[in-house]
Amino acid sequence: MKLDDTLNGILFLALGLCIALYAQTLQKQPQIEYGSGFLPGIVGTGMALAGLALILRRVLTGAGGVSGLVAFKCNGRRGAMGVGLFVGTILIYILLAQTIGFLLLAPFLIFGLVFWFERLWKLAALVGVFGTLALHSFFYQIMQAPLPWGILTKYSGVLTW
Amino acid sequence: MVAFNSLMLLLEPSTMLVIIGCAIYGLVVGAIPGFTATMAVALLVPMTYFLDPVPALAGIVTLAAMAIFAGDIPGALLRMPGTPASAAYADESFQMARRGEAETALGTSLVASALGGIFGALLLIFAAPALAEISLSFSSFEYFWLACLGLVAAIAASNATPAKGAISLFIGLTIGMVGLDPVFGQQRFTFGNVNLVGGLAFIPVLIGLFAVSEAFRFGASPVARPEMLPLKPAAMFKGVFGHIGRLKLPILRGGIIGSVVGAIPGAGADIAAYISYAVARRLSPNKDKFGTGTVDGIVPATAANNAAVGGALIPATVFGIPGDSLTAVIIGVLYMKGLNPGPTVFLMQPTLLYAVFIAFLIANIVLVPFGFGAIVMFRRILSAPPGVVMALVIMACIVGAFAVENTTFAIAVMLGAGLLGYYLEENEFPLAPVILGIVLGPILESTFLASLAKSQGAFTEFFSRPIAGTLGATTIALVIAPLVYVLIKSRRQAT
Repeated sequence: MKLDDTLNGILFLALGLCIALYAQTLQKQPQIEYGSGFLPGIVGTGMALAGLALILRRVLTGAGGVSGLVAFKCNGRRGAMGVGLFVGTILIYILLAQTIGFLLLAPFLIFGLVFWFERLWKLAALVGVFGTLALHSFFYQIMQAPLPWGILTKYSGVLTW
Repeated sequence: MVAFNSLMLLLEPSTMLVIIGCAIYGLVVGAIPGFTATMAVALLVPMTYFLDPVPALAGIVTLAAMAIFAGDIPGALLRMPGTPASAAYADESFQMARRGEAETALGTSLVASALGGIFGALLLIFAAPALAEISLSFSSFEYFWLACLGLVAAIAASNATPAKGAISLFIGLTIGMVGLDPVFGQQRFTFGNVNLVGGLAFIPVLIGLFAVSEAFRFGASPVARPEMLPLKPAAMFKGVFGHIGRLKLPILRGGIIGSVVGAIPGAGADIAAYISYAVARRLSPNKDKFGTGTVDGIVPATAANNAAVGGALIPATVFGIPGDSLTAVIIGVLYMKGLNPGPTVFLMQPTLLYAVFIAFLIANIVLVPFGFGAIVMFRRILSAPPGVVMALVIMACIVGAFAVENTTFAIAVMLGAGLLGYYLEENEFPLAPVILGIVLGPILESTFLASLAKSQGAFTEFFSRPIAGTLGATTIALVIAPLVYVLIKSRRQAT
């Protein structure tokens, strides 16, 4: 998603001002003039000025323009769905992984992604199963990363190879 | 003795296995168009979390050396550089491949890459300890100005407009400020969320910025890969050494340019390759052949991008100041392993550090056989369906972010960083200053406040020591020079 630099500039001007104002709320230290708000104050002011510079550049030189202020550099609705699918996959994992567990959830997530992009359900199913086993073997068995078991917790001893 | 002990550390079977694995991984990821060396490292970092420091760091530097070369392969055969570092001369090698000279283009590129990398590695081995000895006398004043110089150079060296470079840097500094203030211990930008008190974890942010954003870009417009040009690997080295002998000076020049540019914060291997290509074009006796497909254009640039990795490791290990996003990640791994980069590492952990340097040297030596293998296997690498690769990449990102922090909040941070990285790249904001800001922000703040306390609030003290004063003047000049240039240019245009 490409925004016109006027919009980008306004966005960072506003964000910079918010950071600078927030910095004012941070406590100053009694012995020293510069407290925790010192760097956030500089960063906020700098970001606001850079945002302003972006707006001025757009107005004075015309560079960084996008017709209609926002342009989507993607493959139409299918492109937007593609991005949405990746975001959705991550969100579903965040919401369900602890409950369902990695071994049961990951095959479906991988299947969904591969099927969407490749349109081959057999390939998607194979990658879903073997991809999950490969990731589990590497991260859980070899690296000893604590992947969630979810509803398979009571079988974790049997399923650890 | 230190060198021998370091070599022994590298020769341990488990370390060798990690290094070989990283070499193959780096070649495969580097050869896939659109994937960057930084992305490859970002995906590897969660795994290094579970490894000892030597295999972890040796694996990363090996991967970097391999991935930078591997980007040349699709550049020559598909006109799609595998990594941005190969973009400067991708067209040159593709023109050669179209004439049926793909073997010469890739063979010379492989040998020149190895030579450039070896030059960078030797410079690293000899220059870094000497610089570390000098920097032992550095105080917070010098480190403050070094951090400032790093941040300013990151904006100046980025390909984007200064305003966009500055915004990227301020975003990085803001991300770095989340959590407890490093000096006073006060909470900042936490908004009452306990997950934020410890700050935004470096690895999930890194994976989000460099790997998840790439998956989003693929999702938005999946790229169909064109047919690759024919290649006869058996004829790979025919006539190559003749070209290398003829071009030894441009290779040396490429090595020097790469090492110097790589050491400048913010200017990575891609900028080194562009500068080396431009210099070669100006100085070559065959300058008229540039653009039509000539090894004279490929060789100095590919030597420069591999040398840049070694150059970037010098300020990273000596001062803890990253040369590019790749070395920013390496600094992050050093901190993760409890090794604070800086001159004291050379005193406290010389064996470990030299093991990493020697690993980088060996990686560049074995680049020739490994790289040859990657060229032979390229058709097979390319045949992997991109949808399958991306699905597995995104799952590896999720698992990697979770594995390091052991909390789903880390995955949410990764998602946020991924969306941020996608937005920034789509809108032509550079990503390197973001990661430099995250790494350098805490150093900048703590050294500034320590210096201020030492000088009892007197700012003139920041310029009182010779090296600090020189660094300060250079930083200020880097800020003022572009403004003066614009002013003079606009006055000239007006008259």
